[in-house]
Amino acid sequence: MNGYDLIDAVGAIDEKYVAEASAEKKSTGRRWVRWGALAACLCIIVGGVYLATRPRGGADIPAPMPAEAAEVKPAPVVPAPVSKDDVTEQGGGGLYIPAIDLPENTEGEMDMIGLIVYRGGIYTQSGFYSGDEALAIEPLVGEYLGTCDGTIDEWSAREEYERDFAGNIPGDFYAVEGYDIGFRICMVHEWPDETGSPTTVIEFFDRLNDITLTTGGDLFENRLHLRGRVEDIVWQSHDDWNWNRGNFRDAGFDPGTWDAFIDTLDEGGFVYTWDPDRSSAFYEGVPNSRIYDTPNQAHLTLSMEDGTRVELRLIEGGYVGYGPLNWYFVKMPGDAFDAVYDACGGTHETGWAVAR
Amino acid sequence: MDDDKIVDLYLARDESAIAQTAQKYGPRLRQIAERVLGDPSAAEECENETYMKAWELIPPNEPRTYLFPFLGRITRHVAIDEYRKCSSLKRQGVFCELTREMEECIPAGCRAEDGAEALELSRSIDSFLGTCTPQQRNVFVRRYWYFDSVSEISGRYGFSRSKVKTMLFRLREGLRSHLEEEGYTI
Repeated sequence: MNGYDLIDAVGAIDEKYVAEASAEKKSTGRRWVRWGALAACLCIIVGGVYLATRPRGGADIPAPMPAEAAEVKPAPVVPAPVSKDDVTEQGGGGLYIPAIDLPENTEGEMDMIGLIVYRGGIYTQSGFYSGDEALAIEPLVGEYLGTCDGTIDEWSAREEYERDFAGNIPGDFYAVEGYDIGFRICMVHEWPDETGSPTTVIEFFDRLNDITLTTGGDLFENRLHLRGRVEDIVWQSHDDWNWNRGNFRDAGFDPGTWDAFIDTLDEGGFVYTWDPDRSSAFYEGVPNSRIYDTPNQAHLTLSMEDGTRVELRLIEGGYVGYGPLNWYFVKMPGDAFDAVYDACGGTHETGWAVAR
Repeated sequence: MDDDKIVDLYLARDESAIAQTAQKYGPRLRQIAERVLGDPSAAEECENETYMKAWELIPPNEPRTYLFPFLGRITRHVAIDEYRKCSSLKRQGVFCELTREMEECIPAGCRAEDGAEALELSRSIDSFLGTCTPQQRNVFVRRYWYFDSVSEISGRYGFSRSKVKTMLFRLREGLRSHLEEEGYTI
């Protein structure tokens, strides 16, 4: 058998497949919704509130809480890192991402990320789909899990976060087919679009706190299931991403390059890059400050075969970040990272030293 | 003229069947042949040979609901035969690239000289396509039946080029596994 035999044999496939493929297909175009950009109830935390602070080591990734758990474990209070010496890179036991620490009281104004408390864990908003994109992923909306009362707001006391089904977005929430409910749940709404017509909106909420991540595979395979399921990759320059200009471009690398990237990503360890010593250096005109301040970044949007999207941030030096994880990155060694980074508009401006 | 009436002309041995076929499907058939042979005059000869073979094959066949796939299959076969005979065409162009891609689907251990029954192989590919989503199937058929380029498939379905390339890569891997399961190895 050779290539000619196969191509010839394709000629005699069922005529209905040939006819099906000859039907004209309208292009629907792509509409990109940058996560967190549009939801009326989604805001960025400001003021004195922070997420996921000091890392710890050693705990295993928890399995989803059993349904019969009646008591919701209160979120542990985690002190802020006091120096970069407190920051530890991934060791044999993995990197623990603490539960979200919420303030005892709020004197100033505070905005909040969309969140839901479920089975002892806090799930925060991670994806937003509306219109045609929401309709495309509607089949993923699974079993009804509960109804969030939406009563939490910036003035809620800590105890109010300890109730199951508490949250700041009212509505029913559901499992997401293909994803563990210990990681991802979703809400479905009907909201008016810009013309006032009702449009379907689906929001994902991921639990990415009070967990331990040992390797990239713990996130990108065990939770997000990237391997073999990425259908399309586009990228934005950091400048376009920063100014929300769109201008998405096709990633031109071949599937082998992507597979090598995924293989190495899955084996990489997590590092924590927050450095309080650098927290204000950028604003004093000093370069070599926080990892997010470097212009040497590339932004990838992966379209998954189930219609969902995963956004990755690549920072020069081998750092791969998943948006909701903030200061936690997978650190990858050189070649496999560089091939994708360079193909996706990654720059190499000098004078910017990234975190260790 | 719709396909039903064209087939009636063949069955009635009315030679205007050829003219009607050429008017309706000539350009598409020539396009398929030209993608294989890379030469417009060679493609035209394939087209003409397609009409001759259609005249011989209708009757007994009555492709009322699948006339273009029926004709296209003839054109493909004629063009691929010509391509294999003519060494000067080999290692050129799109078709060369397509046969190299198809070679990725050949299971490991499958000897080059093993003659696979063509019909049986087509049935295996059919059963593989039956496991694919319509979107995957259309991309496969556009590439390996119609010989569309990646850009053409991208434009047709509104996919990015990288998405099309990735889909084709996964489909070839899937076909290879399927052929292995069906016993196309030593």
